[in-house]
Amino acid sequence: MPKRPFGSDCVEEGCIMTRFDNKVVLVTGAANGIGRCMVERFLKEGVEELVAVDIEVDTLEDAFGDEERVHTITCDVTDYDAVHRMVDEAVEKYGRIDILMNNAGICFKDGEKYGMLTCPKEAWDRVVATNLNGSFYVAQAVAQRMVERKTKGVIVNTSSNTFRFIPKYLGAYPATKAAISIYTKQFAKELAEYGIRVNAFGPGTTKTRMSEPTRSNPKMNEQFLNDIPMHRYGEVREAVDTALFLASEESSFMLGEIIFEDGGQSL
Amino acid sequence: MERERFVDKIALVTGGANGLGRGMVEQLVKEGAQVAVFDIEDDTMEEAFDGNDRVYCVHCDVRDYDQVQKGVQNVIERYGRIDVLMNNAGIVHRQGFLECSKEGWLDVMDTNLNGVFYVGQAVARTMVDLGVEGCIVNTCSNTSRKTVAGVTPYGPSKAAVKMLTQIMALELAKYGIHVNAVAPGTSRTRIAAGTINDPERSAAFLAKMPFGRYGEVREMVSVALFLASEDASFITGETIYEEGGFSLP
Repeated sequence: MPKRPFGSDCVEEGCIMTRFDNKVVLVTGAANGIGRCMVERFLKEGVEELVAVDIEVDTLEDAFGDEERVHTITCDVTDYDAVHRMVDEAVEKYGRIDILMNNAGICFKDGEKYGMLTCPKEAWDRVVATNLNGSFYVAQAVAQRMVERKTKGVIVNTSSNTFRFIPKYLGAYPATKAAISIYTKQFAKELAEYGIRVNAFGPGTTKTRMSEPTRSNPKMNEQFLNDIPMHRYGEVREAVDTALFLASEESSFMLGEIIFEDGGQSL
Repeated sequence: MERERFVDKIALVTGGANGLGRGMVEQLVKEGAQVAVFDIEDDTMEEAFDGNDRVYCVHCDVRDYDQVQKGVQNVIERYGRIDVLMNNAGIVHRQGFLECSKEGWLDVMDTNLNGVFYVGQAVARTMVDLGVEGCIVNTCSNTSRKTVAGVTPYGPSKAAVKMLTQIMALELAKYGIHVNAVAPGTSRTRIAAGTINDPERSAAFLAKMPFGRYGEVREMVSVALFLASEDASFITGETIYEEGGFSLP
């Protein structure tokens, strides 16, 4: 097969990509992993201005502090008031938000420690606070600004395949990602009349920091790879390809859907 | 926003003379592919692609196992391989459950399900034999999950395509072949003309659409081609609904 005609290789080949010309984008969980790659790809594809949000202020500054088109904001998405201050700051600076990549999320992994019998209350609550409540606060705050300003925007939520393919010992993570896929449909139905599209993507095991404990544990590594028909982990750029497809006009008739991107793991 | 994702690719589109299939052929050609088209409507096919040297028209009835073998062989002889299969040919039969004739039922199953199996298997065998890590995109429908009255065999045939897609994906993954399906809602094509052109039915239908409009062919084609491209290189066995939220639970 010929090399990818565009994507991560593309900048070296000097392609010009224009899917996101003149768009203002906000990405949460932007300091690492999939969120960080989203920011990089949006910049390559012509985005006008980008707001990169994360709680890890140093990593965020290291990654994008020098980038002209990126405005970084430190924000803990579990804090409702902080989320509204963050969104106000973004809208004040750039006038609007066209695309929200609602991506911030956490997961605890440590052998059986976060199994259903043993998961400590604090761990359960923290995952729910971040993945479910936090992502709702962000989606609602941004959607309110889109409606106020009559922006026919796009919201892409980061879900996961873990609620279709249920790995053991992930505590609240699969449940929160299932909830995201449902509120994606609720938002989609209620925002359609404003011309706002809401969809989600569900990556499988991707080569990020979050999946490191799985990939570095020989037993789990073997078991996971055996469960993936494509017999490999996903590249970050592959998750981002799907997310950016949903953010682009290529998916203009898709509403309330979740695209699983997991090498067939949850078949 | 034109991209060239299919330069030097050989694609086969079944049901390529009309509607969504024709949109796929046109976009694949625009993005650099050589495209073979299967259809039974020879005149429409010739008229659509006459003089286009990037399109190769083959008369092939996907309901006919032997014709499919021959048709695929023709394409291989001409281009050497098939990288991308858009397994798209399909028909609708408008009869309710109590009236539905045996002929109507069998015709839909022969085309929408057996045809997808015959072409999918024949093309996948060439991919495996030739070591092509190709892509197969089956055309499903939102009637695979939304219960729609009056088109008895259509939904079941498309629900079967969804499961066949998953089975193909599971068994072909080890050869590096991706298999997915696109499931459009009501798009502006001939297959939907009965609804679109009847003012009363159309108004009732659009009232149930969150976006209040039909899908455009371009919108379905962009989802199908996303699945056929390297953008979807870690997606397999999925059915992607593209229907403006019509069947949201």
